[in-house]
Amino acid sequence: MDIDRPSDPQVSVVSSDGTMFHTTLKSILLSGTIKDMIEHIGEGGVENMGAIPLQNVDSKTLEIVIKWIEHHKDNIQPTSEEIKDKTADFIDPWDENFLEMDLDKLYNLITAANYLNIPQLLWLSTRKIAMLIKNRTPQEIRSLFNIEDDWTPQEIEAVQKENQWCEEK
Amino acid sequence: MQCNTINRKKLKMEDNNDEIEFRDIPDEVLQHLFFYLSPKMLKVCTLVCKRWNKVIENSHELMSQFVLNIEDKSNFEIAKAQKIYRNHYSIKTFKLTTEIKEIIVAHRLRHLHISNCTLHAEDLNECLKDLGILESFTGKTIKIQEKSLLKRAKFKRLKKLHIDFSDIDLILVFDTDALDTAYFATSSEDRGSAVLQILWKQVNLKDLTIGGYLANNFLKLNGVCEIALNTLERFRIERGPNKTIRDFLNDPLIKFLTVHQASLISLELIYPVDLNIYKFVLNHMPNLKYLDIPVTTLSELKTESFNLLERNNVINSIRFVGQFKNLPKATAIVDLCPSLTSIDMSDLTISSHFMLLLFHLSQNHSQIEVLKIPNLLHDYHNGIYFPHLKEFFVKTIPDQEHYCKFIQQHSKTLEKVTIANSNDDNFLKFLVIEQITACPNIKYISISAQTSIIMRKFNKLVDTNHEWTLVVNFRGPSELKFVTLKFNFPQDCVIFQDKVMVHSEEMIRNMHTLEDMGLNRFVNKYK
Repeated sequence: MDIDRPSDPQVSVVSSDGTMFHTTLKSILLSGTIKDMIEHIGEGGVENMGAIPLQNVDSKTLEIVIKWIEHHKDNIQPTSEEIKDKTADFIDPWDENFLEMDLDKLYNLITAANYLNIPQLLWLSTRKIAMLIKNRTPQEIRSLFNIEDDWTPQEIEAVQKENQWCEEK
Repeated sequence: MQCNTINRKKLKMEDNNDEIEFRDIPDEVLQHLFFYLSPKMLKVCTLVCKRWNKVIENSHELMSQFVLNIEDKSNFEIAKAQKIYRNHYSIKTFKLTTEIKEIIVAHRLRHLHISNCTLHAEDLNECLKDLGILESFTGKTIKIQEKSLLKRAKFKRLKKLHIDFSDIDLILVFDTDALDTAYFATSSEDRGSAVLQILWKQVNLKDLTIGGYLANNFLKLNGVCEIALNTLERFRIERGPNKTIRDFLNDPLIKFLTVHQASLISLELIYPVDLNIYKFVLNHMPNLKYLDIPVTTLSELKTESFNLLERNNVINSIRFVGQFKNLPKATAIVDLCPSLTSIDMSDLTISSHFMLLLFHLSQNHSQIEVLKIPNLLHDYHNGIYFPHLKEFFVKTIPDQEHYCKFIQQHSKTLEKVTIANSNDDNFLKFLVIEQITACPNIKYISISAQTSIIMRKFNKLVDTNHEWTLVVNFRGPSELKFVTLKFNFPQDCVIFQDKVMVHSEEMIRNMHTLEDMGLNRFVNKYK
C-alpha cells in the first residue's frame, strides 16, 4: 500500500457553531449527504478539500454522530429498504448502549441523521423513540414529548369512533 | 424510503442554539418512527394530536396495516356501520357496495376481511372491481346470492386467500397466480373444481389447507394429482373427511403426496389415516420434518402393523393431536423417528400412560430439545430428564413441587419456558417462576395468570446475569391483557407485592399497563 497516500484519508467537518472535527473518509461516507457532495468534487479532490461545513448540526450532536459513524465505518450499511424489511429487529448491544441519552440529545441526533442521510442511524434513533411510546396512553405520550393537545373533546370522540372500525391485521 | 428530504424550516437550527424539540422533527421522520409501532399503538397515536393523526392517516403504508373488518352476525346484512374507517365517510345503510369499495380503494387497503354475511354477487363484483392491489382476502361464513353473476377479476398481488366455510363460488372470483398461502374450507361439497381451477395457476404456493366439506372430495377430484405445486411445503387436511369415505381417499392421498414428496416439509392430516399413509410418509418423503399424528389413528391401528414401518431419520418434529388412548403405539411411532428433537403432546390427556410415554421418551430420545405437554402427574417420575431440553411448554401446573424439580433438573439448558393456561387459582406456581428465573440461560418466559395473583405473589425474582423476557398474560376482570416485561439482571430488581419497585427507565415504561390495571403505586426505588 502506498504509504504517502493512506487508504482512508482524514476529512474535517465543521459544526454549525464553528467547532472543527476530524474523522476519516470511510466514516464520513456513511452520510449519504456528504457522499453526494464528495462524489461531486471527485475522488482526487478529497485531500485538497477543505473542512466540510455542516450548518444544520451543532457540535454536541456532531460529536455523537462521529462517534457512531467511526464505530460503524467497516460495517456494511443496509439500504433504507432493507432496514424497513427487518421485522425482528435485532439491535447491536453497542448501539443500544450508544442510544442511552436524554430526549433532547435524541431529537438532535434524529434531525442530524435525517439531514446527513444516515439511514441506519436514523432508524435506530427513531426506533428508540418508538420504544418509548409503546404501551403508553395518549396523555402520557403528550407529557413525555411535551406535545400540546389540540383536539376538542368532540373531535377526539369522532376519531375514537372511527378507530373502532379498523382492526389490527 | 428517502431519508435525505429535509425540511429546513422545521429544523430551526439557529445561531443562538435553540434546542430542538419533538415538534421540530419533520413529518417524514415521524412516519419512520410509526413504522416501529403495532397497529394497536398506532390507534393510540392518532389520539395524541392532530399532526400525528394526519401523519398516520396520510401514510398508505401505515394505514394498510389495518384490516377493514365488515361483520354483522345478527341479520346477515352489513347495515349498521355509520362511519367507516378513518376518512370521515358517512354511510347510513349499505350492502357491500361502491361506497365501501371507495373507502377501501381510497386507503389502498391491502387486507380485506369479510365475515358472516350474505352477499349479492353484483355487490361483490362492484366492490372488488378496482381492488387489484389486494394482498390478502379472508372470507368467513359467506353466502352468495345469484352466483351465476359473479365475475372474475385480476389480483396480481394476492398472497393469501382464506376461504372458510363459505360458498365455494367465492374462490372463482379471484384470478391470481401469486398465492403463497391458501386455506379452502367450504360449506358444501359440490364444485370442488373451482379450487382446482385456482390451484392450477399457482407457482409460489407454500401452504395449502383443505377443510370443511371440501375435505371429502378434494383428493378425489379429477386432475388433482396432475397439479404439481412445486413449491408446496405445508399441507393440511383440517376437519377431516367423513368416516365412510376415508378409505377411498388413501390412494389419491398417496398419489398427491408422491407428486409433492420433494418439496413437502410439514404434513398435518387431522383425521385418522390408514397405516399405508404412514408407510409412505416415513419411507418416501425425503424432506418431511414435521408430522402431525392424530391419536385416533393410533388407536385404530394394530400394534403388529408397526413392524411394517421403516425408520425415518429426517422427521424431527411430531405433534400428537386429540385425546390420548393408546400408549404402545405412540412409543412405537416415536421410535421410528430417531432424529426427533421436538415433540408436542400438549393436546393429549394426562394419564399414567402419558407419563410412561414421557418416561420412554426421556430414556430413548435424549436429544429432545423442545417438549410440550399438558402437565405432569403427581406420581412424577424422577427419571424424566432430557439433557438437551431448551424449550418447555406446559398447559397447567396444578402442583408446583414437581415442576420446581423438573425446572431445576433442566436449568442448565432451558432457554424458553411457557406456562400457557394457569388460570386456576393457584399461586404456588410462583415458586416455579422463581426456579425458572434462576436458570442461567433462560431468555424467554411466558406465563398467564390472573392479575391479582400475579400482583400478590410475584414476590421476588432471583438474580441472574442475563437479560430475559417475561411475557405475562394478565387476565383482568373483563379482558385478557398482554404485557411484556424486559428485565436486566442484576441491575433491575423487581418486587411485586402491593407495589412495584424498579430502577430503570425501561422498566418504568413497561409498568404502565400494570398501572392501568389498578396498580397505582409504583416506587422508583433507586433513582
